[in-house]
Amino acid sequence: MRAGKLLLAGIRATLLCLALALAAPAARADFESGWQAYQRGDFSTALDEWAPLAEAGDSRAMFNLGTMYDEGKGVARDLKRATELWSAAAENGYMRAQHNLAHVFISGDGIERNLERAVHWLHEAAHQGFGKSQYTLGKMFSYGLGVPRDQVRAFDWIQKAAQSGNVRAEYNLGKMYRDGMGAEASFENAVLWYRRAADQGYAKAQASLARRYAAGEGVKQDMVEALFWMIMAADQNLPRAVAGREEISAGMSAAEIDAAEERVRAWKAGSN
Amino acid sequence: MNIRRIIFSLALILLVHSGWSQAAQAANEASGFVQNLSDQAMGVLQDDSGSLAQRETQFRIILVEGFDLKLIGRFVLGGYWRKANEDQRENYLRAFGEFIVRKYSAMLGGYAGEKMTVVSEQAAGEKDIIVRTRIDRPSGPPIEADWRVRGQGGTLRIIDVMVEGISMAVTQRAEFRSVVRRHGIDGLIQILDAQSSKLSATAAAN
Repeated sequence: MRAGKLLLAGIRATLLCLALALAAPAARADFESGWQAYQRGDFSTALDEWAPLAEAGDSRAMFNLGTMYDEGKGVARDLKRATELWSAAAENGYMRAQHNLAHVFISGDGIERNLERAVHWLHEAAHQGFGKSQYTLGKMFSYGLGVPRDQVRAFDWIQKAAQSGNVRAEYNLGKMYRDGMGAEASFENAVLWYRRAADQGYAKAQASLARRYAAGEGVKQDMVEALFWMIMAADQNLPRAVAGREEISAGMSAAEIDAAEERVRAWKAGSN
Repeated sequence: MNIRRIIFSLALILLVHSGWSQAAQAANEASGFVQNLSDQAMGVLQDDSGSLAQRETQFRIILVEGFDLKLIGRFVLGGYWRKANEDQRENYLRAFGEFIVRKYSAMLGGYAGEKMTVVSEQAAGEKDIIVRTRIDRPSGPPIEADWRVRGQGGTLRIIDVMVEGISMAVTQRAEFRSVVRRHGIDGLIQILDAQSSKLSATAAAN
């Protein structure tokens, strides 16, 4: 009798394992075909594929479904539904859902603005190493949104985000070093972080790096290099760089200006 | 009722609908401009050969070209514009533009068969033309929407939308004022950024 029960339990367990083994690839396939449909702009198919997965508690499907409700893709916009889905995925620890949920609480679009809740979810994602959340969290500390203003913490989170390659964080870290906000002022460090963002094409960092070269702050003064970076930023229509370009080139010789413009051409041709 | 959301929906309808009345088609530059915008947007919405990202980019360009986002942005910040420093102005205009563009382009695929008809056009002040339209909806009574179009340097751009007499710019300005009072200009920028800092669908596992 007992052996019979054990045997039955064994069979059940085996069947369960089999079912799981079969179901897992099937679930992946569903997600994948949903993703392909989504990318084609076939949102109703994506919805059909992802809804059952979300129902079964799949965080990624819940998150994606949430974005579709948020953006009104294939469904009428429903921010309340989006927020519910993201909440569930966020509770499961899915970083992107935590990030979006935080931003819903900040924007107050479709839900009552709650900056404290936003900070809570940013913390969750930031502690998991999500750069975008680390950056926003840094900004929350910097402006005192949902938390008391705290420049040291702001610096710490923005530094983490910058270290993970977030370009806006890199630029902001440069600014914080320049101004001695949350850390000891250091033009050398400012230049280092501006350069990282500038190399990635971030216009504001390019303009700030140009200023450091022009003033010889944290780097050896070099007007050609200053003009080069200012042109790179001005070419992206950054107003202060358009003005800065005029200003810097006013004090330079034609040969120096040529050299800077040649640098720009070489950069854009990919031979930086 | 969230008037802003309705206005955004209407803006989309304006952009996607090409069924203008005969009278309007014969009319002046402003309707030609709107017609052209609408044709372009319709083209993007109907052409599903490109990727979603490509279509969103195209739609975005049409929006940026159709609306004077800088002018609208300055107006809705009201008196705080003068108090903002250069850095804040730059950040604000970027965040505002992105905020608006994001709202509109998020509606790709959300068109539900509304039809718009130009009712009339009239001059407003020296610079502007108001294009009055009626939007017939499958889901409810028709709505009246006025589009304020301004010509500057030979280019026409939409600078405001009035729905049933309520201005989007004025409504937005009141909202922004209360945010700035509580959180400052930097807080407003952060809040505007939040809308466009949300992540879209992904295949990533975490």
